[in-house]
Amino acid sequence: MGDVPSVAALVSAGRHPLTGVPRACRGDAVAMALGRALAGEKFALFHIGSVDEPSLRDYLAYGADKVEVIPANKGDVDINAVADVVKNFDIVLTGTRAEVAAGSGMFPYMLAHAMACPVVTNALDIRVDQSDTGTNVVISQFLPKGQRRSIASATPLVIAVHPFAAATLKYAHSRRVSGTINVIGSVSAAPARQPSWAVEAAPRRPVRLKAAEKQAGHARLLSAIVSEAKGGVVAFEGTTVDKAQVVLNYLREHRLVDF
Amino acid sequence: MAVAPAITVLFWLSTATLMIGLARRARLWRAGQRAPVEWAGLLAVPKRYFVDLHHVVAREPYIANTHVAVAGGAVAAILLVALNYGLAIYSPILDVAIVLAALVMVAGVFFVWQRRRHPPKRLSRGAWDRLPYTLALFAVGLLVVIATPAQYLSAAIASVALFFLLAGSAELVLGIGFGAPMKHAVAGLLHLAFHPRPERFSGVRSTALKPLELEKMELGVDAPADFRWNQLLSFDACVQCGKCEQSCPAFAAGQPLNPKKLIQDLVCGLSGTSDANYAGRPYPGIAIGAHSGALDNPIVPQLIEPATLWSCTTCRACVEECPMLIEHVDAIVGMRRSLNLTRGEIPGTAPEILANLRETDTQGGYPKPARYNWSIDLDVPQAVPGKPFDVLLYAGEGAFDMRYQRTLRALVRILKAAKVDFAVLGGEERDTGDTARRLGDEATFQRLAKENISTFATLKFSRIVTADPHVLHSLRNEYPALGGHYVVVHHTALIAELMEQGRLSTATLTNGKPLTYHDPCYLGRYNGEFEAPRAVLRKLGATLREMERSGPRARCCGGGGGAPLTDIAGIQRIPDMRMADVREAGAEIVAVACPQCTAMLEGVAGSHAEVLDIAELVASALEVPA
Amino acid sequence: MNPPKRIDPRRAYRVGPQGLRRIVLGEISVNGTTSATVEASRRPKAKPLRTTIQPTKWHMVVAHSYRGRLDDHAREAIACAAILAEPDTGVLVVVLGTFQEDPSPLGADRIAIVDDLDWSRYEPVREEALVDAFLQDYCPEHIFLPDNSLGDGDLGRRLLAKQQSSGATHVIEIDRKHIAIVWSSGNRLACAPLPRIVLLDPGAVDANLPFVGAGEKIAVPSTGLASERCVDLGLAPSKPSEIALEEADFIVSAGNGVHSIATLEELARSLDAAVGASRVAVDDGKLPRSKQIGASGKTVSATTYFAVGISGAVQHLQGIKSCRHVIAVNRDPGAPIVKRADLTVIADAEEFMQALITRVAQAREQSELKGDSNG
Ligand SMILES: Cc1cc2nc3c(=O)[nH]c(=O)nc-3n(C[C@H](O)[C@H](O)[C@H](O)COP(=O)(O)OP(=O)(O)OC[C@H]3O[C@@H](n4cnc5c(N)ncnc54)[C@H](O)[C@@H]3O)c2cc1C
Ligand code: SF4
Ligand code: SF4
Repeated sequence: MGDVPSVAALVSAGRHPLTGVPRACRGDAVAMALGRALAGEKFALFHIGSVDEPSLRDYLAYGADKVEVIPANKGDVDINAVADVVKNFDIVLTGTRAEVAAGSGMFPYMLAHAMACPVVTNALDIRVDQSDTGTNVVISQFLPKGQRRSIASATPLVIAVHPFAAATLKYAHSRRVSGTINVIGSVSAAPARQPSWAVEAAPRRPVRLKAAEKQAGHARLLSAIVSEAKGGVVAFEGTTVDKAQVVLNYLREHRLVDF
Repeated sequence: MAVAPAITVLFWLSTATLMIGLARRARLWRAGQRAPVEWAGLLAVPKRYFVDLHHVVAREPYIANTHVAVAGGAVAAILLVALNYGLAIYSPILDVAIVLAALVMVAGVFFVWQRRRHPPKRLSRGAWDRLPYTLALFAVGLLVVIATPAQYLSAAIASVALFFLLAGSAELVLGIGFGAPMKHAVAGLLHLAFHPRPERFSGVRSTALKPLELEKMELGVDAPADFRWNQLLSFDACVQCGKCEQSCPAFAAGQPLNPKKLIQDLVCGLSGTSDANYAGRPYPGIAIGAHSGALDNPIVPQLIEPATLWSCTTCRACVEECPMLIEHVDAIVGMRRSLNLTRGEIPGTAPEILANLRETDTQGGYPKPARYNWSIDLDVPQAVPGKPFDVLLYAGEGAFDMRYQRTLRALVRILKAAKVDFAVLGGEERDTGDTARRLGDEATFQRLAKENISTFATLKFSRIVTADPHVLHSLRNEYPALGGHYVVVHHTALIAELMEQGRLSTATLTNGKPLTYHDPCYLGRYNGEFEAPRAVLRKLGATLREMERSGPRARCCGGGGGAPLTDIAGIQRIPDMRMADVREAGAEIVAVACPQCTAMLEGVAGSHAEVLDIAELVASALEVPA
Repeated sequence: MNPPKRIDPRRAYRVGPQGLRRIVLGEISVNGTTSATVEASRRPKAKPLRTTIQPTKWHMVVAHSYRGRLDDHAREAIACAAILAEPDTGVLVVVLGTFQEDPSPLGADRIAIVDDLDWSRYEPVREEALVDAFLQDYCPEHIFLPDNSLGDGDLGRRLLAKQQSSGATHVIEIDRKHIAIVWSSGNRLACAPLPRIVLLDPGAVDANLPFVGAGEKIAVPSTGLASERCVDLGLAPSKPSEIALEEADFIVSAGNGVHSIATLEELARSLDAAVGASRVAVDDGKLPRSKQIGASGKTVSATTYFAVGISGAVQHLQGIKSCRHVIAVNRDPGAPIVKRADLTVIADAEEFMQALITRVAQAREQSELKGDSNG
């Protein structure tokens, strides 16, 4: 086995979606765990934001020895400056989606763009092969319905880790208190590229976009009844073959099968 | 021939050997952590031995009497020998007394031998099997040496007898130094003197776990030397009687836990040996001989597998049964604490539940205000600062469970019928931290406890009532150590009280189905409340069909200690066994008094007795004044 | 002559929140014929064209097909483009992968089908080049993509990172003027003006359209050779039965009422479903512990959950909270699962599974025949 690659993971400040309690962003913590397993000593953890961010201690509890904080104000940061900090690492890991604010999942793409290197997302597993021609990283990528794709890439590259990645998170209070949080460098602010979001005050359900439709009152009534008919159709008459047909009809009607 | 001086020599030699052995063993114990102890405990040993210890042993009269004869005879004989020969008095009258004591001992040894011929499975064999013989050698040797008139005592007989005595004495005095069976006598007496929970000897049910000083990085037990020294001493007191094993629900379910083996493993850890010499039943599914320990080596997994620790329901049945008053649960939780706080290694869904507790203050990850959804339509007053009320109703995690909500709603009906001035905490209620604590997460427990204590501080009430014995236990017994002192009553106790005062009028239960009552561990063994629930049931006109294991010896439902979360596989399920107990008692209704018991017993597959909380039974019998 | 209409007292019903039975108007009846009333209202014959004006502006949709179809999510993106289009705006759909259906009902005015950029390939650079070519040709006002993990979420973000134009992902609410997303994964929304590139979350749009698009098929521009920076090593074939339950989209689950696991596994295979179990089935050793679903097992989020011989204890239901369609087979109409299920069949598990396996096999055969004649 040749050299171990150097790996950086960038983690965000997590918040519990219901209570807002600071915590490690689940997906980011998984990326961190994967990185630690991959690089051992040559692993470094970064956070762009405030040193006082309370959720950073959670990352320590989940296994990091130290977090390097690149101080930056809330909101937009100069992605080129971030790229500068991590440019010497072979692999840069991120989560898939932040828990706070928009959670757009754009960060790994922007970073890769700034670093002018490839980005592979939805990574479940990362393997590193060293050969004469250099470091070859093989990523197992998540696809729907249990499918997996293998992708190989040279370094440097950015990998966004899927939350299903095979890493067990172990939370230990002792690490939470004994780990360290350091400040390094600083990142200047940059003009916003993201939309400026106006957060609504009250919780509500999103409204579904529907085509305006001219329909007879009776038909509208009927479709209203049908769409509300969630739960509880019971079939208990007829032969087993009839019942099998009922199930098949249901599956087809809701497009749950493709035949 | 001058046997007397020989005995004197032998006596002092033995005493010296014993002392050296004790000093060697004490060095091991002293590797443990400091513990506050009172030296006066030494003076209390006779009382603790004859009253407290024998109170447990006497549950089985055969062995109690046998032990009184053997140990009483031996101790008396040795003390008399010390007096008569040790001090070289050589009084014939004392000799008579010695002979009498030795005869008593011989009689006792006979019964030990009888029992060892067909020992129950829970007893360890191995070195313990030789005890009837070595003890007999001691007693007989002593008898012959002392009782034989000098003219008949030929040199041959004398030397044989002295040899017997020597061999018997060796068993007695080498035990402590070499960790042989007789170490229990010395370690047992010292353990009584320096017991980690001396309150137990003043009739208190001492069940609260001791808080860790987290600020001082006290993080539980990683290696044997992390136990307090008197805990290490207590492990040495174990007589391998297997009473704990017999009562352990996890062992019976085939989960990899046997409290006796656990204590023996800790002895291995203390003395730096492997478990190969252990001669009792193993942890189900884990072979003997592959584990060993040392004072400063991590216990898990070299000495004890993690699954063993996570199988425990913390039901305290083992502690209740242990004649040596050993505290298994403290040891288990101590080791869990280290696994949790320093390694974060917890199986099953427990890590998720602990994360929920950290992030939402509830086990299920709900928003706190949702805890009171169950009472929204009941017009239940919410506690507000500055408005005093009498009783605070603390709902617990069960409030999120649709099934348990029925119990809570029944309880509210009862409180209203009795015109109790009560209120709930509303969205201000957090988890008590009980489950976190049993799982070893002391940090989360202490945070939740402190936050609850400061919430309570803003309110004015006279007492707390809860339908959850786990809540009861932590609020009543464990919050005081963190500065929260409250009068906490279980709902069955409050209902009994209201009935007693005539504030509740109930009809008798109409359906007349045979009924039994399942004692929740955290109400019964942890809090000594066996009577109130039964009194309520009697008031309802129910004839209780007690299960064989009930009251202090009740079998756990399997729901405590976070065991349903760690969910260690066994051969059968603990609640299934408990439901079989119910069936055996011929009951069609099993009355319960705890949300965990309700969930566990209702979770039994197949048709089974109806599971009803006492509050539901009472509410169904309420006579509402027209 | 028509017989007088009478309501069959035993016709299909649903169970309301109080456990009362309610007969469902126009619901599927037991013998499998579909009642005409509902379908008629849903699928009016001969829908009109959305617009007859020659487009001067464009909305573009890019989506991967899966096994020759566009899934609901992709259809929603196309419907979104069509609903938001002005009469003089055309809807251009670029399908990556094979696609044989009639594109008009989806709302597409023009459709380009890129057969050789199927979801199973990983050629991001070529994909981007292709999209660039369309962008040059059409200069679409807005670009819509389904935000999925089939490749569209990835492609959309690549475009966003590269293009200096405005965009938003995980859009859950949209109209002509604004979009909204879920803020901080909580229960509040955040709004912004409608940007140029929109990645839609599933469910944001109703894909049923009262109109059709022109559905004109156009040629795919050639893009020349692209040099990929990553090498696609291919897909690892996975058997549905081995899919981790957390990822599975369709689960057939065994309870205490299932006696032959072999039959259940066969049913799962025929439906391309993963296999799950209740705790009792696991305790009995019928299936490994990793298959247990519920409070002390796994929490699953499959779209379809097929519970065979499972009573529906609360601890089990905890594990399937987020399953959209629950279908139950049970002998006992009083079992708690009936209240949770969207469709319950009262039958013996073994007999029913056999019947369904046979029926599914027939149906598959027929649909393949049809598919062949189409293609
Ligand atoms: C703390 C705790 C945690 C638990 N965690 C879980 C968990 O994670 N997951 C879980 O599943 N359970 C869990 N349980 C157990 C749960 O309470 C139930 O016991 C269990 O889910 C029941 O499984 P079942 O439905 O397969 O069996 P049963 O309750 O025995 O139900 C079998 C069903 O099959 C039907 N049936 C029988 N024969 C046939 C037939 N021939 N054809 C058709 N139908 C038939 C019956 O009518 C019945 O409804 C937990 C329990 C506890 C206490
Ligand atoms: S721990 Fe107590 S009950 Fe268990 S074997 Fe030892 S002495 Fe007996
Ligand atoms: S507390 Fe209960 S489960 Fe734990 S070891 Fe003792 S008897 Fe066994």
